[in-house]
Amino acid sequence: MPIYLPIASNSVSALGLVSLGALVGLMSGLFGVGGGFLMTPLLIMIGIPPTIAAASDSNQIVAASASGSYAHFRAGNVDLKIGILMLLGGLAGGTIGVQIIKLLRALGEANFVITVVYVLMLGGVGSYMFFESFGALRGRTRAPAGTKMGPSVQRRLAEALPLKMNFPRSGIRMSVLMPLGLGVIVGLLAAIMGVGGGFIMVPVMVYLLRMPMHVVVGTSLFQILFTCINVTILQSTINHTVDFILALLLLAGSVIGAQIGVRIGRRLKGDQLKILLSVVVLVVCAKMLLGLLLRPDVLVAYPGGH
Amino acid sequence: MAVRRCTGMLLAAVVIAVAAAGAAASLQFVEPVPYGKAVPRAGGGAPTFTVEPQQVPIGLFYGGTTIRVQGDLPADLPCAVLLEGPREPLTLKRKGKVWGLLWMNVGEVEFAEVPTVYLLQTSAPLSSLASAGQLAEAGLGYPALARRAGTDTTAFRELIQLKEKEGFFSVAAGAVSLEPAEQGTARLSSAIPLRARIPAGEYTVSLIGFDGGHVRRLARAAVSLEQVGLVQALHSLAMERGLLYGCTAVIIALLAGLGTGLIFGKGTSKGH
Repeated sequence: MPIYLPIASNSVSALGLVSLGALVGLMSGLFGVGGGFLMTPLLIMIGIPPTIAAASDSNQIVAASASGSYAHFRAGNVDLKIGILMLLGGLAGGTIGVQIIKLLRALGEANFVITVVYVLMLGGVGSYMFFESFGALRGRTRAPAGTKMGPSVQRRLAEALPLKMNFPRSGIRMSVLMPLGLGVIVGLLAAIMGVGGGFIMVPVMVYLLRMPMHVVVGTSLFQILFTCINVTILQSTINHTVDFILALLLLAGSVIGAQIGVRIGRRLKGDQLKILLSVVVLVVCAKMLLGLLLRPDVLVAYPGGH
Repeated sequence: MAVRRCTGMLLAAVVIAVAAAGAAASLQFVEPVPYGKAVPRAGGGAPTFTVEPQQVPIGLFYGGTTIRVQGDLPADLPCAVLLEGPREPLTLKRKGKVWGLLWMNVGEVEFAEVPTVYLLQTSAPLSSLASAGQLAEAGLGYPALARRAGTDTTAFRELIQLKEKEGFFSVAAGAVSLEPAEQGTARLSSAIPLRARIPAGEYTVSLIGFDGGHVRRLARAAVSLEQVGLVQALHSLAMERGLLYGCTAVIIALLAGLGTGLIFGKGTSKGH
């Protein structure tokens, strides 16, 4: 059934959008990522202008992450303390990030630097996650996630920091500055890369904060919820790029997809989840790399896309 | 000059008669273009021209439409039908190779004047109907548009590819059919498909004749695409009261998310 989208000014299949929403919602509930990396390019492919695709997607993620974080919250998988601290750091980081982009743009070649850094980071994080969890699964099949506490540089740095606090939900004790500072870095990167940050946030919480994978997924969704509320309101007010009909169709699928994702996630071990996520990250990385290496069909594009 | 004006008035009178007879409204014949002779008249009749629909409502279930153009023309007068949007300056990003390796946006390309929509149908290939100079002057065909855009041909070729992919541009030779009719006239019919992504706005449909290599604009009609109902209401809310719109969108999304969570949560026990 075709439905006309008032802001995107195009007609699309309603059923197609609901299914797309369900798929992305599933990934969101499973891995604690927003899913914009997948949704935005697919929306552009079916004829939604890039700026409207990105803005409306953030509106949809509000619903999917509300659905997912509620389910995770009930299951005890949201560490509110860490979540709020990282969120505060993220807000500060985002504000600084926007200024850094301005600076980079002024220097020129910003796009090139940003894209290369992003692809390298995705590739690095994805590979590390894949091999680490693969080794963990083969070596100690019943190893509960989050108990490997090998002394490392960041670990020793974390122990040296003041303002220690207990985080019972994640079962760790660390300095308040850790989640706050890492939140700043995540917000900074998210602003510079122009993505929601789930891909960066999840590995940071797993490897640098040493939180258990299930709590990471829930806490990440909790933060994404607030980030996307902020983005939706800002985009509606400043750029008028949120298409509510588009978001509504997507969220109809994604709220259910997110619930299913949370349920599948519960049956999986932390390391199995990490392997799945690392495969997704590597596929996205490969796709971006191909997009950069292959000659595009058309050598001009409307402003606003990536 | 006086003779030409008379012809124009006569044409206008015919048009009004046609319109009054129940054909599509707001039809307007234009004066013959300054160069060349007046419109040849066949068997005492003048060309007639109807465009339907002229008002296209864009509602929630709009999925594009087809504009049907019909008319009676003198026989042996090849013609073209052009649906065109307003001409505007356009700035696009240009993609190129960075460091000989990666395809990225490398700069901008500016077009001085590009129609937002340009759907041209002709009864025969354009190049066989008039000289390149005449076509350029009349703004018919891509080479004519390229000249007005004022950019290099490579950039314009890419623009055409982009616009054709989206359904904003097309040039279709042979899409206008001319069937012989009575008294040395021919019946013109053409169907212009409008994709749903062609935005609301005012468009012009022109009927152009090629008389022995001379280009004449024979008639013109307006087609208006207008958002109605919920589509129009949401669009104006989003544009005029962005904050309210954004907050409402967030609240509905939150309610939908939490509501689904509650429904799904009921059946299950607390997890680990």
